[in-house]
Amino acid sequence: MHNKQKGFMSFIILILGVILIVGIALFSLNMQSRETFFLVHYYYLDSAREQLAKSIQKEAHDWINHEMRLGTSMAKTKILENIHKFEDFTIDLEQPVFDKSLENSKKIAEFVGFEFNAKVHFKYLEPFFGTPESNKYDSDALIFPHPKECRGIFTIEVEISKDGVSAKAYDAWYNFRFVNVLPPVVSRFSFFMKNQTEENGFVGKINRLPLSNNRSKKHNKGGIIETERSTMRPLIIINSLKDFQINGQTEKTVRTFDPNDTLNNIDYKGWVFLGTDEPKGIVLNLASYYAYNFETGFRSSRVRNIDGSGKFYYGDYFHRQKGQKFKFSTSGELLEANIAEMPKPYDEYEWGDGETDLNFLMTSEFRNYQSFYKSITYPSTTDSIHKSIKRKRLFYNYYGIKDPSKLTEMGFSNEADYRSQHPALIKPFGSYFYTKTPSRFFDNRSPTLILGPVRYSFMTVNNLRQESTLHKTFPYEHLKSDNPPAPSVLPLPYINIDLENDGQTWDQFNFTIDPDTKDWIKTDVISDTRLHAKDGHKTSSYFKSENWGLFSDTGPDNYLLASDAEDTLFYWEQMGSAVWLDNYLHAYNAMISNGGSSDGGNAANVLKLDQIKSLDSTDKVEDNHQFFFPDNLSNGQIFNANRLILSEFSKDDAIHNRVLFKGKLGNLKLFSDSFTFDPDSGQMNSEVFDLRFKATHVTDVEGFTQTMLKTGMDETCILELDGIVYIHSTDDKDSDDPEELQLSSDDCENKKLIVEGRGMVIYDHDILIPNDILIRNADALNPQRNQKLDSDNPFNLIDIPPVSIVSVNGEIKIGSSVSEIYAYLIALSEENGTIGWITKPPDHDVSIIGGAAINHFNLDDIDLEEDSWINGTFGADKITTSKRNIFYRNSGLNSDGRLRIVFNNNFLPNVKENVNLQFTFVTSKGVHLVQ
Amino acid sequence: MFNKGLSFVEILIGAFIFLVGTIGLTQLFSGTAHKLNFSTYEINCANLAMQVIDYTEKAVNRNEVDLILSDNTSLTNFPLESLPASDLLSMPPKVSLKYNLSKQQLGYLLLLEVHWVDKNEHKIKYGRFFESENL
Repeated sequence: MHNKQKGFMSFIILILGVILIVGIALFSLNMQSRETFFLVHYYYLDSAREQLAKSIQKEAHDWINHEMRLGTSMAKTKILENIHKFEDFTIDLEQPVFDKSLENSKKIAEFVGFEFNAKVHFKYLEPFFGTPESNKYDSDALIFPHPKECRGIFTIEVEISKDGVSAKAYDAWYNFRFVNVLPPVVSRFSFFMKNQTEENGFVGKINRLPLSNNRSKKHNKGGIIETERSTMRPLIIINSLKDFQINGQTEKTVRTFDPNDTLNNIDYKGWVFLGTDEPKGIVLNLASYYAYNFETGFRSSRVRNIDGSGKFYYGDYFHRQKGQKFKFSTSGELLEANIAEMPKPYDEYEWGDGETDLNFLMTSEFRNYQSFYKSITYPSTTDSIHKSIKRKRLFYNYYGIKDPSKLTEMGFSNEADYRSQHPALIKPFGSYFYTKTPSRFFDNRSPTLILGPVRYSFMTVNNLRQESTLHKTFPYEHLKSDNPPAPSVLPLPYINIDLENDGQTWDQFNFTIDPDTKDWIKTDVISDTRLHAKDGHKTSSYFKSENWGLFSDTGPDNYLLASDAEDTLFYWEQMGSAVWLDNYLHAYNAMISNGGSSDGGNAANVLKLDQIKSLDSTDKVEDNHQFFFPDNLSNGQIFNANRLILSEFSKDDAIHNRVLFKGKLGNLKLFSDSFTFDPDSGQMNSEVFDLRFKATHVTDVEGFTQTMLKTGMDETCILELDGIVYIHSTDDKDSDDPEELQLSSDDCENKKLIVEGRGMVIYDHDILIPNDILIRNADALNPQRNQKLDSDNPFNLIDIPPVSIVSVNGEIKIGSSVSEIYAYLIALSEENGTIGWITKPPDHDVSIIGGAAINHFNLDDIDLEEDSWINGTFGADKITTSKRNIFYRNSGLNSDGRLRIVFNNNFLPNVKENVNLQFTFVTSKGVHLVQ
Repeated sequence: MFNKGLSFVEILIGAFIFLVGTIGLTQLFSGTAHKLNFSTYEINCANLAMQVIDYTEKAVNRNEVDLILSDNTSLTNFPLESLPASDLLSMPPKVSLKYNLSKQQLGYLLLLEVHWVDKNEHKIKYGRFFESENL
């Protein structure tokens, strides 16, 4: 080849080579930058997509959470319908009802230029304990969980694409629990004391003061116990916020039960009487008749007289068997005894057609046939009271006071006496209004459980009245002194107690009340025509003309009982008292529920005895009276308040009836001994029901103190509570010195604890409440108390969110600076379940606004000193206890504090609408997966 | 023999090849540089957006969101100084942030657009819904 050509070609090749090499290098660089370009752009798209996915998941989660907490929501209804089939299901969030769940996410998708598809999968759905609504029960103390309560997980699956391609899926899953924060069953009662066993002194003769002679110290043969100057703090149970009146109190005569003066009455009538022959028993005496107050540590105020009754005190009136009249109205406030103001009906509700309504007005009269009279200062007066030689002798032997002035020096009234030491009577607060018109049905009766057995003869129902048409205008509107309604009366003239035979029943005799003298007289029950009273005997034109009677063969159109001999006998032997007691104990609910229409065309409210079943088994009892009186009637006929059916009712739904509880309250257990918890895995196991299963949050003492208690902006101490917090302790149940849970922390020292939210705090051992517990945003107590201000609807209650403090195995202890605790306190442990003071009680009043349920009072450290000589002047029995005992009161002029338990009606677990308000849907986020 | 060198035609051909190669390489280099520059900006802006989203979420959680709530539905400049820890944000040059933050029934809706300009104007978009316990 020519050299020139060679040179040229070499030059060209060189240029091409350089260009090629540089080109390859630049191309590589370009490819790399292109790769980077795509990667970066992909990063942007991916991050934008992830933000959208998070938005969708959060929005969908929050929306579901929000809807599930609403009272009514179509989405909630639909979800619950599917959940309660307990099978996996999927909801497309684009479908109607749910389409609003992603409103914001759709805006984001449009803005960013993505498309998406979102679904929610519900999985692993199950109820908490067994199958809800079971009709069978293996024990007599089974709690039926609310059928709505359940748990499971839901996942929110999101698929996001751009321009129809590059689809990517995201999945987030959440644990959820749908629980009710009301404690089951026990919160039906303002004060629930479970233990009524013999070991704790709650059997048989608990309500009988032993008639022993102090000098002889034969306590089991009698005796009088000094309580007037005992260092016992009164326990006052107020069964409705409505009764808790603080302001505007004026001094009224006792026994009027004027609602405006209720608290005043309660405070000085209500106290706890301690002491029996063991002395283990305890009697809740809410009937001390204003005989004295405790301002100086002793009772000192003058015992008041009844107007126009001469020298009789109210106590006399009661103890001398003149009768202590309470009227228990189902239809409204009465003139004589305003036990509690009847809730006013909502103005717009239907009153029914009148002909089909059966509204009962119950008037109860309390009499105590074990009463005796003994005055310290005037012992001889007893002679004129008791005609029985036996009793005369007993009182004669009692040590009399030689110098009454000594009493006043000691702070006693010179009229002090022992009449107020009467065996327990429990004041019936609240009202109960029964009608077939659901909107009128209202159960605001005292939810207080009778403590220990109550001799049913103490209380009788003296009549049942059919509500008149006049009652259709509520009494507060028309009931005036010049025109009181006088509805027809179905008397229940019942008594068969042998007053002189230690309270045994008479086999042959029955007694009734002489309408003129008000004394009890023997009666021939067969020929007592008053039982056949019906509206034909009406004395007022205000009443319905429809016949109505107690028994079917009295000829009325409506009646309570069948007419056969068994029912009649039952009525005579049991019903007269049972109606009242059941009313009080809410078993009347059960009786009504057990009734219903039957073959004989009975009225809707007939009590069908053969349908009453013993709760020991599913079989009906041999004798119907065993349902209410399981013990041998000849052995101090007692009602032990153990066997009960609690039903849930609805104000809106007449046919709604769900059994809340069946069984013996004494056997009630909220926690299981077989419960185990693994704090690492969160695994819970138990053979039977345990409230801890429902926990929505789990932590330990340290976690609770450090993370759940916070200091707020206003330097308050805040507990955010949303659901059920279980605080686990590694200490065993039988540990000698288990760690305590203090509802306070270093930062919260001496500060009130403000609860934000609602729910329960459950801890394994002792719980200390050193400071007040208040609830943020709770409605303030107001003059209408349990009714919202500015509302005409009585069911529209003030809202104090339910907060419960629950100890599994321990005691609940209250600090000496506490004055208010807005919570329901629960300590039902057989060994330790009680309430007490941390070190000593405060001098001021303490109010537990919510309620309390305990296993027992701590009576072990209560000493009864017999025949204690006071200043060498007179002897009496004296009760002392330790400073930690809930009944201990400090000495000193300012130590007149009382312990009040004020029931928060929002705790009622057997009003369907109320329960619905307290459901909560709590979720916890699982792992966020990006596929 | 005397070498007369490259002819004019040869030089012309060589120059043409060189010119074409240089232009091609320059374009290749320019495209590469642009991609790198764009990627740098985009990733910086994406990171900035993520930071802003993160800080906005903090503001929501701390209930300090009122200062940056939008008055209407249009996109406006983001007042970064109102965000918590905004001093930690690094704003690249020629970058601007537009946003709209609105209060919704159960939370807050944030729409965010990050602009930057090189030869052209570019933007990336984000959206995020924040839950709020306070609503």
